[in-house]
Amino acid sequence: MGVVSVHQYPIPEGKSGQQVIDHLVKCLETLGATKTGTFCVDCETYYSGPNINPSRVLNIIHNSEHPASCFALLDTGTCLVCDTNFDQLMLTMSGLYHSKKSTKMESKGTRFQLGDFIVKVGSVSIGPSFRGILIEVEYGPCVIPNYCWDLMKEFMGGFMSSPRDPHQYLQGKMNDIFTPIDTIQQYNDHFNSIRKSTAAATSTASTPTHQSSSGRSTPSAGIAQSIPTKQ
Amino acid sequence: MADTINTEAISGGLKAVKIIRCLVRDLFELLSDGTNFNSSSLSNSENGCISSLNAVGGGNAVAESKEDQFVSNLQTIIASLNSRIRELESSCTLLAHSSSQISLNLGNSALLGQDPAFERSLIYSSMITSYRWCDKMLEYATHANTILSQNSLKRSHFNSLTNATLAMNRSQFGQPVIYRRKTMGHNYSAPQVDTLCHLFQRHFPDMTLEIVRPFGANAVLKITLERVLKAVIVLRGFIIEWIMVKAYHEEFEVENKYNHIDIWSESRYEVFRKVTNHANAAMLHFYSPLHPDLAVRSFFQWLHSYSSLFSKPCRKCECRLQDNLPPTWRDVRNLEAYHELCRP
Repeated sequence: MGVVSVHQYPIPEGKSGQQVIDHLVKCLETLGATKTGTFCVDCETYYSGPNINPSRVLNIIHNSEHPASCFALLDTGTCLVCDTNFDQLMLTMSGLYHSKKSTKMESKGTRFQLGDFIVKVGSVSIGPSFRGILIEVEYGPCVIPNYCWDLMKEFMGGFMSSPRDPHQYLQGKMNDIFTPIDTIQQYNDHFNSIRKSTAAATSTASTPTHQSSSGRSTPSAGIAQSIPTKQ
Repeated sequence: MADTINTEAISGGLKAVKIIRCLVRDLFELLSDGTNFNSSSLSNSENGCISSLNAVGGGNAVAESKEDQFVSNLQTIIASLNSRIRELESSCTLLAHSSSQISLNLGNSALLGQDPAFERSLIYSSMITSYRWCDKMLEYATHANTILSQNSLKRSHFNSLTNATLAMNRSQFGQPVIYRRKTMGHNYSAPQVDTLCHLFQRHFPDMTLEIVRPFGANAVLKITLERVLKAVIVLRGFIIEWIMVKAYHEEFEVENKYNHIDIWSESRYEVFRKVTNHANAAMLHFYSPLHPDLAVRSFFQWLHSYSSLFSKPCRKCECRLQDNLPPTWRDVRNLEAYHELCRP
């Protein structure tokens, strides 16, 4: 497990998500990357029942890179890594935590290998609707983000506008050994910000016309706001 | 010699062909001009048939004198044509003779040139390519030989020359002479190696050294350099025999086998495979049988420079990546980082 950095890729106006992904894939293939299969990171959100006070939000994330594991992230920042059997356990705990199927998010796409780098171009969707593009870049040989950040930045500059700083979550862990949880935390943050931006977009679009739909969007907006305060 | 005969025959033949063409043109001109007595003769002359031309004659007296002149002209032209054709034939035989001489020089391969399906089979062209390749290989081998004879990378003093003298000594004195090897870095005792390793450990605090002896007296050093890489160095006495470099999170231990070190399997990352190659080259560079402790010390200093493997840009191109690899080579003198292709 090397160092992983996840970034949101902006979609320019007048272009569809698929067009941008096709362009990215073309760029990577021109650089000499080889396709090494597909990947999927999915996130299911559970809300605490009335007997848990204060109310909590639990995100259950699966990563195809770790197919036998399941990551449970509480909005306090606590992360639990367990076997995939945990999904069944959550069903039995439906009294404590209940899921909302419509909020299931996933980032799905192709996995590319370019030397020691692994690039994953994923399209993020909530249910059937497309929400954005997440690019995951992994550098396998190194385990300390601080050692190889400049290297990764240079690599990312080859096919996308390279970010100036590492992800906010990673900044606090630059000199620690990178773990799979750090990848999941980055995905969680990105999923939350995407959810927040969609919620904001739907609430502004729907407030003047439908009172009921704006009411539906408030819980998710509330969750998204609660998460940055924890970090 | 063969070449001059060849060109003469060719020029003679070409000249003959040229004259023959001129003569044939003259002949046809004569045939078309000289027989404009009647339409039938013209048509005959155009066919160029001499026998029919002779048959055309036999008109009035004026026509007869004209006809004689015409026939004599025709005869001279045909005679000169004949002589030129003979000339051409002789030069052709000369050419055939010279080409057979060339085939002797080329050997059997010249027969390929006479292949009727020459353009369809690519044997001749591929043969030429392979000849060229052979020449190049010979050239490179000669260069390599001169370079390698200058920088001897031999790690043993026991060569064929000393073998020969040994054999001679035996034959002269009738009893075997005990060949005493020079003192080299390999005959160091285990405690000596241990003390030197502890000394290195103190000198490089960010490099952890672990000494294990799975192969008996000879030590195997397990090195962890910061949180960048792990390496295994197999020593024979104090001579470095083998190096394998892997990533910090890769293991040398074999699962379920206690005290078993896997010194053979390579890293799964390209960077560390490259570093292993460079480390083996550096091992040969620093090899010094007379001062083995100094050699190992300089090698360790060189290996220690890899602590900045991922963070140091290349000295020459000032970039971090080349072919998706960081600068994997370190200068053996000043320990500067370079990409493999940027090496000075």
